[in-house]
Amino acid sequence: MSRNVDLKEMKVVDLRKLAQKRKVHGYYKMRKEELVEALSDESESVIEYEDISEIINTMNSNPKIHQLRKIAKKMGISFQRKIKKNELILRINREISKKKTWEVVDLKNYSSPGGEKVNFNKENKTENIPELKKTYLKDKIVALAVNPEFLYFYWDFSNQTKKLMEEVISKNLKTYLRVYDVTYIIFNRNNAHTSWDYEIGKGLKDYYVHVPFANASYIAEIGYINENGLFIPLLRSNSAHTPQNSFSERSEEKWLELESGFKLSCTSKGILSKPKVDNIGISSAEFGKMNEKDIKIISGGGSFMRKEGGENK
Amino acid sequence: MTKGYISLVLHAHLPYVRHPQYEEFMEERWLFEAITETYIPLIRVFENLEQDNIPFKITMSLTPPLLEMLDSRDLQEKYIRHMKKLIELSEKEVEVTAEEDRTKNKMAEYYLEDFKDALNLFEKKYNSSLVSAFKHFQDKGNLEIITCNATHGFLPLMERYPNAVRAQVKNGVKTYERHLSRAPKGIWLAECAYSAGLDKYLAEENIRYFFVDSHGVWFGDTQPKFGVYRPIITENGVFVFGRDPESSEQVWSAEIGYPGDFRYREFYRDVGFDREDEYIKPYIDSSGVRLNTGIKYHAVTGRNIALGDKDYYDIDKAKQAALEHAADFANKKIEQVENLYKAFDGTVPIIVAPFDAELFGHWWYEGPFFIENFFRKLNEKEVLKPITPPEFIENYIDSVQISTPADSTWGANGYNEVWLNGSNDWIYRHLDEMIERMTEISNTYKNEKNQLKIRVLNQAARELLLAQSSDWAFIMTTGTTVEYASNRTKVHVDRFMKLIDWLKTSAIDEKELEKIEWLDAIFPEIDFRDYIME
Repeated sequence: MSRNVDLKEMKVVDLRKLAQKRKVHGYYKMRKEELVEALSDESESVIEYEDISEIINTMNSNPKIHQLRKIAKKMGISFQRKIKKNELILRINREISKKKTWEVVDLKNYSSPGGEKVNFNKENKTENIPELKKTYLKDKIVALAVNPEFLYFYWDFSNQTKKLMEEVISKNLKTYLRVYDVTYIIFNRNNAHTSWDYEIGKGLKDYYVHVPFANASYIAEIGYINENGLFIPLLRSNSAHTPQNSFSERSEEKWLELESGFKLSCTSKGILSKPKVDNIGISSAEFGKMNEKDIKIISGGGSFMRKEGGENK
Repeated sequence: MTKGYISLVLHAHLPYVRHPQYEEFMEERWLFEAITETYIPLIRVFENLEQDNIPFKITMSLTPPLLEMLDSRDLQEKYIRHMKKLIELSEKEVEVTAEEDRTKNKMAEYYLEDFKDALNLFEKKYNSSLVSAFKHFQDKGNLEIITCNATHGFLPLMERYPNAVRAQVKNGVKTYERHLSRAPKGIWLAECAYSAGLDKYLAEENIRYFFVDSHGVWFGDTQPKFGVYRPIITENGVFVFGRDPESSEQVWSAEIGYPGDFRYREFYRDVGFDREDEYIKPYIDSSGVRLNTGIKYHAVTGRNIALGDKDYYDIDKAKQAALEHAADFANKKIEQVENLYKAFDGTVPIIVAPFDAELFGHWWYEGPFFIENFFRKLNEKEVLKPITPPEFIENYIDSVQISTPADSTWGANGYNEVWLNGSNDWIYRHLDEMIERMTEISNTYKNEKNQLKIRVLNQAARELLLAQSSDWAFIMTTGTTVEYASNRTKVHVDRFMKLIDWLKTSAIDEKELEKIEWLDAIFPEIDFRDYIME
């Protein structure tokens, strides 16, 4: 495998990128020939993949000192004659780890035709799966519509709010999620059509709430009721809109003339040959059935649901 | 006399599953199975119809992740390797079944030929590029390829973030343009999910039409005069085609749907599970996990029949069933347009029948053959003709009703609950946090000139998009391969956070960046500036 040939076939832009990556001095003012030359000098010590996997195999099979010396020479590692075995292993491994990252870089060329051989990762496929943060320490409550009958809320607290909530609870005051129906109004906290409270204990981070209306807007607040019986809000959500699940009652329909761009209005006569509308729209029973493992109705009348647990699965 | 039109819409999509660091990876088989069982059989159908001069029109969404995977050199190589092994297994099967049963043996021989032909088509005829095959039929005018939002993200649950929605749409358009050398006219919104206002982002990208489920049109802000049988247009000037519920039911329904015919192939009996360990070991996952190989010898046989009691499958009988069903479907559609034409007082209706492409072939093995013969049947009469949505818009619309569709999806029960329920709701706090950080960081670095930092920002945008694939939430709901979906979500969130931290601390690990770029090598033309919010 001659790297020179590969390099000559590459575009100048790509050569320049490669040169930048390999920190070739003054790459940006080089012409193509110069780039190829500079890069092929660089590449001379790069070991081919077959070799590297062979080396790794040898390293894994408890090599003798003379084998190590041979490998070190091959890899261009300089060492003194009296070098200790352990030190040599260390240096070789260091060099291998460098090569391994090279391998990753070079594999990118794989996706271009005529790419090179890939030395696949033979490790177990049990990569470390990271655990995600349980909180981002942000004050936030988010409302999302599930369907015409349910909303989902999740929230997160800053340290400050979290502390405040804990203080409130320690005073035996109760914390609530208060949901407001704000359909067609600009909410000012006093003008909601109705509102409902759901007590939220410590540690709860989300909630499913059953709401009465489709095609309606809802906002929620998290807060507590103070010693004087006043609701003190701490966080407010966005407004979420439940989907419409019935025919519009609008009496006018509008049409667009494509050629002229004119818009015309006329009285709506409704839909010609009304369809059978079954299977659309849902009942809470069906919703419950779908997730019976995860969602449990915990309140009378199935008015709201909450998820067991609440943490990442 | 032509009284109506039909648009068959096939939504071809798989999430971006590509693990180049492994020689084989079980979930990469999703693509391989879809290629062998759906994409190649569909291409053969197109070829057959083209050869016989049968006019056919199919609208097909090839989603950006699917385009990127079909175009990925390493997945193409892996597919070829996969097929070579499958052919090797089929050769053994021909020998083994010769001792077992004649019907089985006939099928073994059929599979061997079929797989050889598929590999030949893939490797030789289309030079490993199935995208070029689809493009060919688009250029011929039979296929209308549309795009999808970038990673099939579920847009209604990110509508609070205009920049996130915009990036999904923009990258869907850009990816389409790179692979298909023209701009997309239409889009399939992931999960057929619409929520009020999404049409604005489509209009910004010059997308002319999209699809919603039936109730999206029915429950729109004005009653649609023609129901789902003529498009409406939104205030932002984008055409909306509604799904015909009857076509869906004829094909999908568990009770009356065609794929349940007893003569058809049974999906859940496969030699990957039936053969002895030693024999099958080289052809299943190297961990020993058994899986579908695609070699199946049993028929549906009957209702409530245990898998163990199924009869052997005979492809000739199954093809007979598919012919009957194709004729029946054509007749039903003809009857439907005749009724609609009458009800509409001479205005021509369009029936829009969207399906997951992978239904045909992968789930319903005889599905592609059904499609081929449906077009052959239609060609025998004048009443109903196939059409693509843009052709219908150009030729059969003088005036169009203005209406905003209702929020809707094509998921179970019609709304968001498949993608938002107790099994998957935990992902949204992370996805939202990613969007917020992406916005913040894009604003901070909007004039960045340093190439390395720009690479970090662009890669962060890729990680965000990949985490947003609706597939992960869907898989968590269905309960199969949940661990993979959950891991994918976590890995992309984690990589994203790492990249963002590098920028904040000005300590960019260039080698690690290269590795991440290689692993998640989607959307080369991505621009993090799409996330800037003024």
